[in-house]
Amino acid sequence: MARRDPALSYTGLFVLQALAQGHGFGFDIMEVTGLPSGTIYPALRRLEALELVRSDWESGQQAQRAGRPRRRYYELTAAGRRRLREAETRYRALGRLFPDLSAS
Amino acid sequence: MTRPLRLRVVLALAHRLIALLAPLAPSRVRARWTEEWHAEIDHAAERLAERRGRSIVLLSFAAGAIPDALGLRRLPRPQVPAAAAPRLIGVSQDLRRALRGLAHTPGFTLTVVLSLGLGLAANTAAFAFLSTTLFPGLPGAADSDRLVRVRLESRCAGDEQCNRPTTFEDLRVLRDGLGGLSGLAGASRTSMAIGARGQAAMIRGALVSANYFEVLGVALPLGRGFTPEEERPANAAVAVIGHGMWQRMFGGDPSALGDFITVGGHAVRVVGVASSAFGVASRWGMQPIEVWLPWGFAPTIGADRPSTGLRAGLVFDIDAIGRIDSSTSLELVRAQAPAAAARVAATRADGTTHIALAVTPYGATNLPGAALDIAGTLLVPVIVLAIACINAANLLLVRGQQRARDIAVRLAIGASRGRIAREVLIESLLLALLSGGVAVAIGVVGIRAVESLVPMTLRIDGSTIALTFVTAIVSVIAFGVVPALRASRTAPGVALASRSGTPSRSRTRQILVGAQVALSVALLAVGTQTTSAVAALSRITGADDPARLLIVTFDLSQFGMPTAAMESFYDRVAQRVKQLPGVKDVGVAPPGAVWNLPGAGLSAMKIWPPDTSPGAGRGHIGGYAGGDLFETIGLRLLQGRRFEPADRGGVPRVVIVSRAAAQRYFGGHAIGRIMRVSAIGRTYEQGHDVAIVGVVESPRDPNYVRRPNAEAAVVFLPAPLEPAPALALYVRALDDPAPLLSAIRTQVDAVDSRVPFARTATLASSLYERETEGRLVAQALAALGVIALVLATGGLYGAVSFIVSSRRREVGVRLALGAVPRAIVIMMVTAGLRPALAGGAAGGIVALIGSALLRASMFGIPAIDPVALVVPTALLVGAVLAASIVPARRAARVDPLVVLREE
Repeated sequence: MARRDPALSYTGLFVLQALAQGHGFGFDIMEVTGLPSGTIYPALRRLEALELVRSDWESGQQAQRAGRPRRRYYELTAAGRRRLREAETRYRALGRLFPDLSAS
Repeated sequence: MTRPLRLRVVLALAHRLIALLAPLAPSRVRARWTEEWHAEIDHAAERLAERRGRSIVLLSFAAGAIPDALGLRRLPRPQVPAAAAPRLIGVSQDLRRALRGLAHTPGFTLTVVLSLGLGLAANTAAFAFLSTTLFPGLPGAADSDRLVRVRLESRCAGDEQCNRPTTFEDLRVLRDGLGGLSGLAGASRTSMAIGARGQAAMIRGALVSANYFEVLGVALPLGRGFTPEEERPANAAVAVIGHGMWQRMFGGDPSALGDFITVGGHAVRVVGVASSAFGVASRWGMQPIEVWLPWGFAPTIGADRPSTGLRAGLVFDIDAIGRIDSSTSLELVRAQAPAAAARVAATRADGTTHIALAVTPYGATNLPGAALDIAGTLLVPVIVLAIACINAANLLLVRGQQRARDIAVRLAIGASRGRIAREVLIESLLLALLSGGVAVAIGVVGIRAVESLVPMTLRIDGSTIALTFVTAIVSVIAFGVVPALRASRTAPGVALASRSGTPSRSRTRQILVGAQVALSVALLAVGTQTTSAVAALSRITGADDPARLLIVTFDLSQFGMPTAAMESFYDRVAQRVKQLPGVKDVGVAPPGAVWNLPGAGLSAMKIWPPDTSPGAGRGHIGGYAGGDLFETIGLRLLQGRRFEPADRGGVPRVVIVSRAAAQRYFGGHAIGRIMRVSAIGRTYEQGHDVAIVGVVESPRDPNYVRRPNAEAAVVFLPAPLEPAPALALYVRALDDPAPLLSAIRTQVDAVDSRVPFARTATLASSLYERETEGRLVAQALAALGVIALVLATGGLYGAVSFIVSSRRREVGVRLALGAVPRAIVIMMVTAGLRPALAGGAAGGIVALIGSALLRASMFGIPAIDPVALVVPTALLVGAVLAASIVPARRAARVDPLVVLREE
């Protein structure tokens, strides 16, 4: 990729990681990461603009069954997965440097 | 599932918050953003249902929408792929559509293309004329774009442009001193008295430097050019003859090479023959150059002395032509010019204070200087083009209006304005290209016709054709596209609602129609009047029957005769010719003494009327009047006496003046009065006091006498003031003078067979020839007037019939309200007639003003021909009637209900 990627924030990394683990909806990501909605949603938008994440809507039938509007779900793109792997390598080094922290 | 009331309230609040925040989100994502948040809040409410403090949690969750909505605005916009490719795809489609559209309306297409084609053809011809006259080039020379003209401009002490000609001496200095040129050649054109194989002829020739043919890159098909040694007078008796002269005098015989011809009576050996392409006149009215001699020959024929006064035939000025070789450039040569000019100045000892060298590309014309010529040539063709454009604009406007609904519908269903503009543009460009093609075709035919009228070779080259097409495109865009686009800017609703031309639009069209009529009427009237004015210029002479007055000119300057021999030549020839049967009278005078004849220039002298200071002598028309000049011409004696034999010979003591001169200088009482005369260039002290012994009728020449009656003030002398080698024999024939020429030639041969005729023509044909250029302009003007009239008639017909038929609905309403059909027809016809009559009147006024100006500036111009005003106006009114009556009657006959239901 010719374009130089902007640095990924902690929030961004958390969101990517949550998505990788299968938490596709904004509210779920919020619960998993413990970050507030005012952080999660803007982060999702940013990641989507960077094409690390893409979104779609759940099917209409599913929403109808639950008696609410369709929910929007997010998933990683190929680029998003790659960025996440790169970040994991760096954060693993973090774990080695601060063993006490990761133990607790 | 039922929820506790409090949760329901909080939930409603949360949804309410999202609705409130929605306007913060960018519009392109707003709907998705809102839907997502509503869904998330519902989902959250479900998940939080069992938790404590869920209301607070839910509200704080919803509050996350605030930074989210604000953050969306800061995100980079999603990149949309560029839409350039699909935009071009439609061009061929548009082209096909435009072609189809034009083919569907052949009447429209044909009218526009023919109108514009005719209008443009006038411009094509003008462009061709300008390109030929402004960039004559040097026919026959190789790589003529590498040739430069080198001109010396000298100024003398006393700040007077002394206009001293470039001499061969100057050229010699420049040849060695001006670097950067691979060669510098010079040529001085002069008429030469040539004798070859028993024939004598005045032929235009040139004295040239030895390297002339080499520098110009001219290959001689037969023989050679000159060698440097031949520039020396002792070796200079060699000549290169032109193709035309070779054919005429040698019958194209190759043995002409090595043969001898005579130049001014001196034997000269022919060493080369030039090709037919070289030497041809670059301007019409000029004779081709047909003989070249080395400049070393100049002293032999007396061509090394700068000519004083206006002696016929001897033009002394050198055309210096250089060639730039591939290693240098014009700039480099120009950089060396000041140093070379200084070197020339050093060789002069005549008070030259300033000398400059101008180096210009050979073919180039001084464009700012020619601007007036260009404007004059293009003025009328541009007016004709304007008429054609008005036609086209009218038709395009009509088409645009018919289309306005179509365009409005397409705009309403989402076509972009750019796309529609492109379609209009493509259609217009197609029309422009078609018209340009028609114009070039008409131009080619028209130019052949012009060439048959005047001896001039016009060329339609690439730049002329390109200029024609550019003009076509500019005209179509200015008159077709811009109005069409303005029409398309109307809101679709308005265009759909309105059914026909609004009153303001028709007013524009009426003004256009009026302007067209005015232009064509004015042009035609001025054109016909100018034609008769030019005819008047050559008809008013003051002489008896100009068709039977033969003028035969000679030039003895190259024969090296003493003055007495020249006088004797003219006396003996005159006496012998007078004895010929069919000859009534014979006179002798300089060719330009009485009329401004072509190829002669005016014959001038200097006079000091009574009570003038020695410094106030003035140049004046006049000269020697030998033989029975006054009887021959038909200038009757009004007072005093004619010249007597005692007056002749030696220094003039008496003069005869024309009535205009007697009036101007002596208040009409001239007999016995004294004035002083001298040759041009002499002082008061060198002049002679002469008594006026007779007054004759004035010759008339409106070409140069800008006074009422065109009477020329002329002073006639009994003997020349200085040696006069170039004189003319004036012969009054009893009948057709043409058969007399061979008899006159025999008499001249008996006196001196070496002397050729320089010119032979009757006064009538001379003056006719003199006005060739003016006549051509006048006829072009009249022809353009006719074209304009045809264009205007056609345009008027189209416009009026459209106006009438577009008012069908109005007619229907009027009929429904009880109008009489007759009144309707009258109303329609009047509406069409009004602009035509107004335009005709305006054009007539313009023509009358132009005519008054013309008549004020020149004597003998007939009053404007009423026919020239009435006929075009009548024709145009006829066109209006034809165009309006038929559709008007048809409109008046229709059933109002049918018309009203048509919509």
